[in-house]
Amino acid sequence: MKKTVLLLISLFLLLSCSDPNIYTAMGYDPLSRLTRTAKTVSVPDGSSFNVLSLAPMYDYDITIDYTVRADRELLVSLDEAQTTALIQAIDYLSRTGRLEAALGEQLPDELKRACYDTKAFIYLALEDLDQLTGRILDEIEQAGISLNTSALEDFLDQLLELMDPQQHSTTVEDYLAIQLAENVVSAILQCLQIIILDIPQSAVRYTWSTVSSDEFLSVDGLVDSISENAVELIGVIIRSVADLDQVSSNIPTFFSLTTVINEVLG
Amino acid sequence: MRKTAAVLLSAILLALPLAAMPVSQLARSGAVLTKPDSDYAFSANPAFLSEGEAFYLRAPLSLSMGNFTDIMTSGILDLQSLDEAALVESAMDILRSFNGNMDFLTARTSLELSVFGFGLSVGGRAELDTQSGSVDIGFVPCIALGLDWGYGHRWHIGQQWSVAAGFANHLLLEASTSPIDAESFVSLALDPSGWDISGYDNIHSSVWDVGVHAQMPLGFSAALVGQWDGDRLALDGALGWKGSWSVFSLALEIGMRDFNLIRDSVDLMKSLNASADISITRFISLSAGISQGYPSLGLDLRLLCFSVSLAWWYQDYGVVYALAPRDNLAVEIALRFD
Repeated sequence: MKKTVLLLISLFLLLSCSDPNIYTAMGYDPLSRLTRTAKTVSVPDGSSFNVLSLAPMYDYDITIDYTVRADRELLVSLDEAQTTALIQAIDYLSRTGRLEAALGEQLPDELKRACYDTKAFIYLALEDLDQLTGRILDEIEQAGISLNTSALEDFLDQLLELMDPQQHSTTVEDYLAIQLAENVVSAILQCLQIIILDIPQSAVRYTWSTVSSDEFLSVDGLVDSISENAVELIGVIIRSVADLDQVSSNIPTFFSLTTVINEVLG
Repeated sequence: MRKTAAVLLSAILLALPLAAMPVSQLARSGAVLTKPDSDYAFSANPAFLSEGEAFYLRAPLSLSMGNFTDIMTSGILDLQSLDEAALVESAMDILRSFNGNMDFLTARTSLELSVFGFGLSVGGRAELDTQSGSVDIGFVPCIALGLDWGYGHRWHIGQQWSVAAGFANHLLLEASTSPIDAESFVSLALDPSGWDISGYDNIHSSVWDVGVHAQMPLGFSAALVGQWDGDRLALDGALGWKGSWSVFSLALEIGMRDFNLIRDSVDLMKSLNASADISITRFISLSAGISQGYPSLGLDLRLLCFSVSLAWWYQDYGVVYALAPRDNLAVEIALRFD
C-alpha cells in the first residue's frame, strides 16, 4: 500500500516537472479552446470609412473618415480580451517550447490578403502620423519639456519598417506584428482624440487629410491640450507599448518597453 | 501622500485583526471535505462545526506570494543590487512575468470561534493584484472583510457510524481601489497631492453552505456540501479513507467540485480533486493534492497552542482553462485553543 502511494506521488511529481497541469502533460491543449477568428472590414475603392472603427479597444467620441484608393480588406485591431488571450497564448507556447513552430506556421490565403491590405493601410497612416507626431514633439520641445524625441521617432520608424507592404506577410509572426502595430496606431489615434477633444472645435466629424494637415492644430492649443492631458496621454502610450513588451519578452524581434522608456527618458 | 499612506495603512490594519481558506487546505488542493477538523468548518464543510471540544478558537495570519517559482528562480528579484535602475528593472520584470489579472501578494487573517457547535468567524485580507497585458500594467490594492456564522451537530449511530450536519452563512464586503498603474505613477510624479484613491469598487455577497459528513466502518467516510450564492447551487462531493499504523496515519480523499454543473470534459477536468496526507504523530503532517489538474504540496507543524503551515499550489488565470497557471507559496502562523 505504502509503495503504491509513493509510486503514485513520484509519477505525479514527474508529470508536474514537465508541465504543471497533469491534463496538458497528458495531451490536452488549451489552445484548442481559443477562438481564432480574425475580424475584418471590407472597404471598396474610393469609399470612406471611420479609421477609429478599426480600434475597438478604445471608446471614441469623434469620427475620422479615411478614403481608400483601392479595394481593401482590413483587419480590425484586437480588443482588450483578445489581446490578453494572445499574450497568454504566446506565453503558453513559449513555456511549452512550441512558440517558434507556431510563429512559422503559414497563414490561410484569405488572411494573407487582409494582412497585405492592412499593412498597406497602416504604412500610409503611419507616414502621416509620423509627420503629425513629429510636429507635436517639436512643439513639446519648444515648450521646454525634456524628452528624447528622437527615440520616439526611431520607434515609429521601426514600426514603419515592420509594416513595409513590399515585404509579404505569410506567417503567423507577420500577422502578430501587424496586429500589434495596429494596436499602437489605435493608441496614437486615441491620443489624437484626447488632444482634439480638449481643443475647442466645432465639428466631431473630420477627414483624415484635415486631421493630418499642418493647419489643423494650432501651436498654442496643442501645447495647452498636451499639458492638460499629459497623464492620460502617457497612460495610453505606456499601455499600448506594454502589450508589445509582453509579446517581445517572448519574441525578441519585437519591441521592448524597457528599451523604449530608457531611450525616451534618456 | 502621507494622508493616502495613512488611509491605506489604517484600512490594512483594520482588516488584519479580523476568515479565509486555511493554508493547510490550499496545500491539500481544497480536498478536505471528509477531513473532520474545525479548521475547515467555514471554508469546506460546515458539518465540521460539530468537531472538537466544546470550545475552539483559532487566529491565523497568512502571507502568500503569486508566481513564486518564476520570481524566485529567474533572478528577476535581484536583492544584491539595490540601485534605483536595478530595482526599476526588477519591478518591470516582475510585472512582465504576470499576464492578466493575477494575485501577487496577499495577507489574510481571521478570528474563528466555536462553542458547542455554534461558530463565528471574522476575517479580512489585503492584497496586491496585478493588471497587465492589454488590461493595464500595475497593481490593484484590495481589502476585504468577512463574517461567517453557522451551526453543526454530529449524531453517533452505534460504534462505527456517525453523521454530522451543519450550515454556515458567509458575508463578504470587498473594496478594490483604482489600479496603481502607469497613469497613477505619472500623476503622482506631476502632482503628489492630485492622486485620488477615493474611487473604488465594492463587492458584497452572502453565501449559504449546507454540509453533511458520514463516518463509516473501516476508516471510510463521505461528504456532500451544497453552496447557494443567490444565483446558483453548486454541489461538492467526496469520498475519504483514513488508516493508522503506530505513530503514522494516512488520509486520502477524492472528490468532485460543482459536480451538478458539469457540462463537458473541461468541466470534468476542473471538477476532480484529490488529496493525501501523512501524519507523523499529531504534530507533523505532510500533504499533497491535485485540483483542476494542478499539484499542491504542504507541511503542517503543531506545537502547544501554535501551528505553522506551508503550502505550494497552482492557480489558473487563463482566459481558457490551463492557459495561464501560476504557482503560489503561502505561510500561515496560527494561535489555536481546542
